[in-house]
Amino acid sequence: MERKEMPARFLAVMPPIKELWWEGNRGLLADTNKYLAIVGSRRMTDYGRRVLEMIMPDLVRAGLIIVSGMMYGVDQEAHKLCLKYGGKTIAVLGWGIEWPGLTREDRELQEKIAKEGLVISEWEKKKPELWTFPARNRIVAGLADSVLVTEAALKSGSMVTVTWAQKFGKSVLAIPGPITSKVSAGTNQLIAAGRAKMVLSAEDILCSYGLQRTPTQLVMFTGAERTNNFPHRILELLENEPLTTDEMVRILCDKVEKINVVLTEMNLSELIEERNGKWELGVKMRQDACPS
Amino acid sequence: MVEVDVASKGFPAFNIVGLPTKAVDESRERVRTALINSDFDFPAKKITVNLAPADLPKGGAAYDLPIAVGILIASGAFEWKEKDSSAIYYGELSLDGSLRHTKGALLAGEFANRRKRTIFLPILCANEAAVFEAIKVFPVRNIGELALHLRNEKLIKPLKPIDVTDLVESASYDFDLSEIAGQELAKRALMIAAAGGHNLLMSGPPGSGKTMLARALPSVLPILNKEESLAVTAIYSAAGLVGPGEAIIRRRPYRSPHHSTSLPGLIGGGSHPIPGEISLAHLGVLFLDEMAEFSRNILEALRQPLEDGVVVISRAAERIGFPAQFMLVAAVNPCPCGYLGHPRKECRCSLREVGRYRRKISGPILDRIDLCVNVPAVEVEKLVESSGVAKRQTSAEVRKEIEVARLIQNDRLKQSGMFTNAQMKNKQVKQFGLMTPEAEKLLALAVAKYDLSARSYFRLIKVGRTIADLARAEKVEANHIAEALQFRERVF
Repeated sequence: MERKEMPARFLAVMPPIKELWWEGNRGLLADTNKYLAIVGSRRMTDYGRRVLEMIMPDLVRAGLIIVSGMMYGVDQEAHKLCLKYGGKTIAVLGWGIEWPGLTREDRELQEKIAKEGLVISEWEKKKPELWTFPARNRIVAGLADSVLVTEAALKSGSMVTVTWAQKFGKSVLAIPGPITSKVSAGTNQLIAAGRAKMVLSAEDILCSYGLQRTPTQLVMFTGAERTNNFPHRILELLENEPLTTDEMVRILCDKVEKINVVLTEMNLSELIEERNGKWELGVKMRQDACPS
Repeated sequence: MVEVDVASKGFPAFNIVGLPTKAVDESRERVRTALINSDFDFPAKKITVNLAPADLPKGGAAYDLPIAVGILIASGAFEWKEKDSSAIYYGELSLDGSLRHTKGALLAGEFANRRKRTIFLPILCANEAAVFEAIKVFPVRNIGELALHLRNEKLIKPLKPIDVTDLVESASYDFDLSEIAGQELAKRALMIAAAGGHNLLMSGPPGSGKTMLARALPSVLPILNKEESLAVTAIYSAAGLVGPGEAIIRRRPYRSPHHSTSLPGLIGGGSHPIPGEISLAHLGVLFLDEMAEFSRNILEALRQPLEDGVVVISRAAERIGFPAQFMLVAAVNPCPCGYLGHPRKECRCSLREVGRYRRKISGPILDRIDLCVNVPAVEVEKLVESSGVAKRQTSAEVRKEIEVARLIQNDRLKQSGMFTNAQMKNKQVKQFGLMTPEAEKLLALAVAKYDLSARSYFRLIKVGRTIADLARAEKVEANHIAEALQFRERVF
């Protein structure tokens, strides 16, 4: 793609983008679209992942196009989740679009994004180097209407993107995190210094686009009612925080073999799911309110 | 058999023939010195010792005693009576004429028992042979004492037979399940694993109690019966690991080789093969801590013994099969630094490092593991809050339930020549893993949702069968499958 074919917003990017290689649905670059860049640390924590999982369904439903950098960690998770919920996503590569050195997982994801979304890069076969990533970040910032930082260390690529975004006059959003976590230090500092708007929910993000959250239908728990009300109590508990099986055994004060059975059933009906040994609310429950 | 000839003609010499190895050959010096130091005359004649059969290589120091006795008799130190000539003499001499603790005393006793012979053993290991009630076992302190006995001047008292069953039942374990706070899920997994003889994989951060749980496992396994106890003792005796004065190994073995263990150290080996860690864990527990740190070829070598219950060591000189029926308990950290998912400590590994670490474990060895369980870090103050809510089960209580479940399995699997559910092959799973329609429906749903392979499918039924046995249920019900699913193999 030559400069004259590029969407208007790319022409404002400095230093200028000389040429652009692309693969996938080029229609995603139409000027009327609304873009949200999601950037963050390569070392995504559990917290970072849960944040993405919480906000992504609403973002996708509102029709935002998710832009990110295809790097493992937050970037890839954002791409994957967006595709999982049927959204549109653009990956801006820090390497040449046909660079052959990718790992198998990366290649599969890149191909998947090219098939269901769009992959763009400034280069054709360039090997990634230290300077190509900040250069890529300026395109991410240039394309986006807003840049959302989920997790970032104080000195990181995500902070570079933020600097570019501010240079181009884009709004910067950041998710606060625990002050004990290294990868939340950057985002917290952005908020503290007033460089980013603090975001606490998907609604906050949609607000900045003038959009509203589309409400979804309430799904009731329809599984066979048992003599005890474990399923309901477990859902109530998990609303507050993820728990291990052991913690549930302690709180519910019953035999582990009974609770195991309930957990399997709830897991099979996607009410809860397990991650790193802890149970949390499942896809069904995350999108909707808790059953009364 | 040891033959000694003291020839009246020829130059004084002392030779051992019959393929002696170094340790046997050096026995000449020990025997000569021991005899002289015990105030016997060492005949200055041509002495030839023949170890028969001539073509089998002989090693070890246990030939000292028979050679010494042979020389005494051949030199006419005392009369050779019929009853003494059919006895077995076994033991290593020290230079002052006393007998040292010698490996393999139990095996010598077993041989004597088969041939119905009397046996003379060093006093330090004579107890090992005293478990055979049918034979007389004489504990010998030193060669002088033995000579007095053979001359009928001062008799040695034979040992009283030791009752194995009494010993086994009085065995105590140094670790009880009730000492472990929390970890209900892991304890349950341990119980199911013990009941069905399943191999178990525990994953959790350092300090969460994986080692403690593994160490408590022998205490919930059924008590060794007499045959089992002798089988274990035979291996330990051959490896020289039965302590001085001890009779038999009374507890189920628990072995936890370090991940730097060499291949021969683990599966057995040497040019004259000796049993390795997996045979020392026979009928007990083999615990591999930090399994991901073990090298690939070592883990590979475990596959065949896990399948067959024996390990065959082939060397140019000989082939020896050692029994190796053990429960494998493996522990891994969730990531290289160990703190992934820890409530307090931050993990310092990148996603990629975690991926690489996990891939190391997956593969052939995971195929042999039926139960996987997460052992999360325990937050002490949360435990304190809830202490006294549920009574902790002791090992003895759990063991009773497990023994019942094992009996049920024994009955069912008798005809197939198996003892536990874990040993079932696909054929038996189809035959005995009868499920209720609801259970089948649940399993089908789970297969679709978790994308389970055919192998995990059969493993789930096996574990479900064990859970059903623990509940004393005829068929595998939906509840049992549902619980088994909690212990299925995950990324891990």
